[in-house]
Amino acid sequence: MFSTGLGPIADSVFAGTTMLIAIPTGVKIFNWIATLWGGQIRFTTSLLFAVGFIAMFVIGGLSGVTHASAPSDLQQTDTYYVVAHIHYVLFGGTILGLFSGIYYWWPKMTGRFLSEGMGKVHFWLTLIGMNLAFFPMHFSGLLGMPRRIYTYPAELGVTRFNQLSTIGAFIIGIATLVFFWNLLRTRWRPSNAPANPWGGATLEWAIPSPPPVYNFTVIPTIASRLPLWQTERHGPMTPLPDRPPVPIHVPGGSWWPMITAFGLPIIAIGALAHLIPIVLAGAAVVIVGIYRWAFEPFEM
Amino acid sequence: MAYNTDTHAVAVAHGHATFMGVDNRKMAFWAFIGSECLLFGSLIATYLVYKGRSLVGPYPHEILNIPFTSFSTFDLLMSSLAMVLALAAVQRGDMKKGKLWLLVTALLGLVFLGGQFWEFSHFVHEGLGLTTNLFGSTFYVLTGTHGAHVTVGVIWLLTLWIQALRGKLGPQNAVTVEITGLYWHFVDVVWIVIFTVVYLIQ
Repeated sequence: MFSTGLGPIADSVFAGTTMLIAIPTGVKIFNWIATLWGGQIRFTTSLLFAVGFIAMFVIGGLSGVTHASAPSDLQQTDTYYVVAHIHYVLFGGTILGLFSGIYYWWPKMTGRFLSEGMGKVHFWLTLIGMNLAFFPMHFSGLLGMPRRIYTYPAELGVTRFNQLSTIGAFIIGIATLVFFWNLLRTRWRPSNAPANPWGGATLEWAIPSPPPVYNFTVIPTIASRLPLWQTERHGPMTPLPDRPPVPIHVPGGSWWPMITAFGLPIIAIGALAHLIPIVLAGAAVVIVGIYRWAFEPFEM
Repeated sequence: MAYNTDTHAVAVAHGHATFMGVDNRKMAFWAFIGSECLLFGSLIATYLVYKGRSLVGPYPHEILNIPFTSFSTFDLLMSSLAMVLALAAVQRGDMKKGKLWLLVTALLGLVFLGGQFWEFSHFVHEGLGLTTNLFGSTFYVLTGTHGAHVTVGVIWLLTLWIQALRGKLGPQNAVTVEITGLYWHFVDVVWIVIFTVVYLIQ
């Protein structure tokens, strides 16, 4: 916003709001640390990703505060410095958290653990790769490396930093291949996850892994926010019956929503290419899809 | 929307009860009608905002044919009556009457659509296109959206009629017919508003 020439008043407002973002972000970081503080730390792959996420997000948060200085930000705009910042926030903040969640809930979703060994290889390669890819971007950006271009003059003196970033990107790629292999191989592994493999306290761990199609046999009655744990004031939740006391009504699966969704991009492609017949064909797919969806039998 | 299976029909005919005790499909349909109110409300509001601001003709008073549209309105009101009779017959289990009134409702809807087709082609002939003036744009979009809703309703009613012919519709799926009725009466009520705002209050 500073580089658009809005004038000093608007720039001051944006400087203020940019600084303000640091406050809720800081509160969140202390939330996460306090959560860890109260917990029983076991360095599983999931926790490694969670801790890595906090650390990387802090780096992204710190470089974010530097954007609040208008004269400094004018230099950073559209350079690799902001690319470095956004990747520490988005990759370090979102992707690492996502990986943590996948390692945590995969046994619940599929009934099979992901390999912890491969998971640790995945974590360390990802962490090294992302820091190698994104940390040098702070320097190359401040030296004048613009974003969104594929080539630059050698005299800019950022070749070494860019090479480091490239190597880091390939390491992230290799780590992700390890991750995908880890996911894929659980297909052929025997089911080995109990209902509550991590000793969790929340309701999803009260039902078998993977959850049955109807999820819960009866709607559980809970007395605390940690229903599976014995706490000072509350006992654990009473176990759920194995078999539903009454037949559970489950709606059947349907292809028609997918077919309807498939028609929409056909319409869009036809409209982009100015081909009316393709638009009409896509519309026909959507109309038939909605019609069959609306009137198909309800039951499995 | 429809329960077509005869097995378990009685057990599942009521779908899931919501916490308010209403069938979940009926509840969802009321929510849908709520969003439809917003859609038609915004189109009617747009018509009113641009009312009397057309710079070129044809203007509403030159072109709107109130006696003809009164007939269309009467036709649509009668279709609502037929819909009520259809639902009552299906709930009684009198499928012979149920089939008849479903078909009558759909046919009255078709008569309305025929009237709208004639009206639109007459207006175009008189020189009122979608982009001629503000009246043309707002009038065609508002009444056209309503006509599209009537078309969907006619297809829906004919589908139920065909299901009834095949013996797949009975008192066990009266809720399906009831929801169709909700839609049909809603479309009818919207037309009463449009008829009043566009045709009667000029």
